Parts: sequence; structure tokens; C-alpha cells
Amino acid sequence: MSANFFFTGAIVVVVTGDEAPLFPGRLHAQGVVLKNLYYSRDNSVHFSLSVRDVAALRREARHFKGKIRFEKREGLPFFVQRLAHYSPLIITSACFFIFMIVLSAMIIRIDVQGADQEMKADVFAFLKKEGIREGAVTFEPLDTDRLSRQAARDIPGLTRFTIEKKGAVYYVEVAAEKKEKSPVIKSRHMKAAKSGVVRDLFVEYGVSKVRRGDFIEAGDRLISGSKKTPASGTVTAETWYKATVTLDENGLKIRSGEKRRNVFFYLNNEKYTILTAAPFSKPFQTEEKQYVFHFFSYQLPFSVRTKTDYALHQAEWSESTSEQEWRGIQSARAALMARLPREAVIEGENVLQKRVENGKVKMIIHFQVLENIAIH
Amino acid sequence: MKWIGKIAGLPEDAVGRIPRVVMLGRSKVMVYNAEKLEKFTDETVLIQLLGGSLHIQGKSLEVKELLPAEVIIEGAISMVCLKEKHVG
Repeated sequence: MSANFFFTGAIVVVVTGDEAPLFPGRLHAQGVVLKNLYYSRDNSVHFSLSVRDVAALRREARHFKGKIRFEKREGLPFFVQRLAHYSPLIITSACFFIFMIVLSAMIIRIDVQGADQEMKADVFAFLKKEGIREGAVTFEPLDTDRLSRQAARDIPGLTRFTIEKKGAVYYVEVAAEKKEKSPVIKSRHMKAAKSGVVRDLFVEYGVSKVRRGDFIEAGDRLISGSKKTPASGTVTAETWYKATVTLDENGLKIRSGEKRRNVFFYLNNEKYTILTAAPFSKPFQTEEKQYVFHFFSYQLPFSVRTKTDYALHQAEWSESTSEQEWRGIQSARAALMARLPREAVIEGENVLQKRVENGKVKMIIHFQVLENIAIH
Repeated sequence: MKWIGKIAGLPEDAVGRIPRVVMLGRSKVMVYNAEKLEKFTDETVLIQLLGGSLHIQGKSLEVKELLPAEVIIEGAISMVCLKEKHVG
């Protein structure tokens, strides 16, 4: 058995006087537990006792002729008291650290290099969609590979995309496809790139060979120019595109809203599990996320990772024909938009054919598009 | 009390308040079932036991712990002496 005063709090008492050597014995007779008694030459005795026994000490002190004084306070209660005394400092420094960590995670600036104005706007729009914009606070590490792959898919005319994070600044380097140089004109006339019906004409130089409402075959001459002044202008025509979409009628699975989250805490690559959940027995989707923390540009040695399972279930409603059609048109429309030049407008669409083949819906959709078809 | 312990086959110090003194080398003395710490200085410690008193002499003696039934003394111990109580 050993007395531990840490949790109750202890007081170091100094007793001086002629009767000092007898005093601990008297306290002991009262049932008080004492610790670390030692005697000094000047007839004084030091010892520590629990805070609880101070009343007994006082009682005993009444019949004592020497001096009793408290020297030191030790243990948890006094430590907490001292901590409370310094709490403003502690709270302020904790706030400072949290503030710095949040500020370090903030994107202060994004530098885009190697892009013209138009491409730059595209890149910024793409980055914003990915959650990277000036002022955003993000703890997730940058997945450069995924971003560059996504960028190559999403930004038209982009050939190379590298993104790098240096502290709170993101450096993006892009390379665009080389545009055909306009001064070198191969032909002095302009011809149609596609067949269509002319809607609008704008002739800068040259003589137009077509009128509004004319049907044009691909390769027909639209504007003829002279050697001195090659033809230039735009011919907006209605052109047609056919798209085939296949929809999975039964394959539509949706998240049921039920989710189970696993949280892991990493400290120096050591994994500590904070929260685990049993995996679903039904089909589920998993999303993993990692959060890292920086103090200025120094990466703190801990990170938090979450793995969330989302339960899936079969969509219970049956889509009506019009809903199905609408979904098919939307997906085809999105695919077409990505292929068309920026100025092109999709004017209308018609479903040409729709048939159901072993649970899948196949649609052929016809689009009317307004675009410039004049090329040299 | 004694005879109960004898019948049960227990060691004597496990029954009743019979004092037990354990010495560890020359630096530590543990006294169990001590009645009272009579006097304490750095050279002599006087402990009252049930049937007598224990004198401990040495240099720079310290009482590490003073529990209701246990006293632990440390220091350079030169003499431990058990005296019988004077009757009368």
C-alpha cells in the first residue's frame, strides 16, 4: 500500500520548534497519512500531507507550541488552479495554432501560366468546379494526376495541365493546342465544312455565293474572294447531328441515405482507429477522403482519413417514358456540347427512334445545331 | 486470536496486531502494525509497538511514508533495537 497524493493534492508543511520531532507522531495518532518526512538541523521537520487532512493538522496545531507553515502546494487540484490562472494564454495560443492551420490550408493565389485569356477563364472555371478557388480552405491533398486527367477531358483545346502546390499558392501550367495561323490562308475562297441550311451570313471580304435558306453540301463554295483580298466572314447554318444513346433501365442504383463512416487518425504513418463501422451487407459505394494539416508550409505529422460507405438500393420508381426520354436527351446533349465549338447553339432535338432491348433503352436522337460552317 | 491463527495454519503476523519489521539492506526499514511514531529526527526514530518500542539510529533518516499501520524509513541505518515495554 502506498499513499498517492497526486489526485487529492498535497501540501508540504514545515514544522519548527522544540516539539517538532514529536509532531508527526501526534498527527499519525490521529490517523493522518504523511509522506517524505525529513528532519533539518534547526529542529524543523518537513513533510507532505493530503489536502483532506489539513483539518486534522489544524486541530493538532492548537496544542503545538512551535511554528507551522505551508511551503508548497502540489498535485492535480493545484495544477488545475494554476492552469486556470494561465488559461487566457493557453486559449490564445491554441486559437493562434488553429487559426494558422486554417490559414495555411487556404488557397491564397492561383497562378495560371501558358494560357491566353480565354483558356485562362476555362482553367479557372474548371478549378472552381473542382473546389480550387482563391480563398477556399481545403484540407484534402491535391490529387494532381486526377486533376490533369480531368482537365484534359473538360477543357477544350488543352494538351497539358500540371498543377503544383507551393505553400498557399497553386501554380498551374497549361499548354494549348496550336491554333492554325490565320495569316497563312490556303485558299482565297471559303467553303462549307458541313452540309446544312444557311441561316445567317456575315461577309467581311469577298462576294457571297449563297443566300439565306439555301441548302449547302459539304465542300460548296460560300464566299469567293480575290487573290488580293481573300474571302473572310462567317456563315451560320443549321446543321444536323445524330446521336445514339443507350440507357440502362434497370441499372439505376441510388444511395439510400444510409451511411457508415470509418475515421482513422494517422500519426507518423501509424494508424489509429477512431471510429469503425461494420461494412454493409448490401451493395455500397465507398468514398475515401484524406485531410492533411499544414503549419505555414510545414506539413504536420498527423492526418485524418475517412472512409464512408454509402448503401445503395435499386431505384424503386419506374421511370415514365417522358422521363426516360428526357434523361437520354440530356446525356446526349451534354456529350454533343463537349464536341461542338463554343459559339455553336443547339437549337432543337427530336427522338428519331427508341427501342427497348433486354432491359436497355436505345435512343437515336437528332439535333439541330446552329454553327459557323465557313472554312478556308 | 493467536490460537485461531494456529488452527488455521496462518503465519503469526497475519493475525491480530503483531508488529513486523522488515529490513532491506542498511538503507530501508519497514515497520508494519506500528502503533505510533513517537519521535522523529534525522538521527533517531522512535516507534511505539504493541509490546515495546523500536529504536532506529542512523544518519540522514527520512520517513518516506507514514500510513496508519505502516512506517517506511530510509537512510543510512546503523542500529535497530527492539525494547520491551517497562512494566509498571
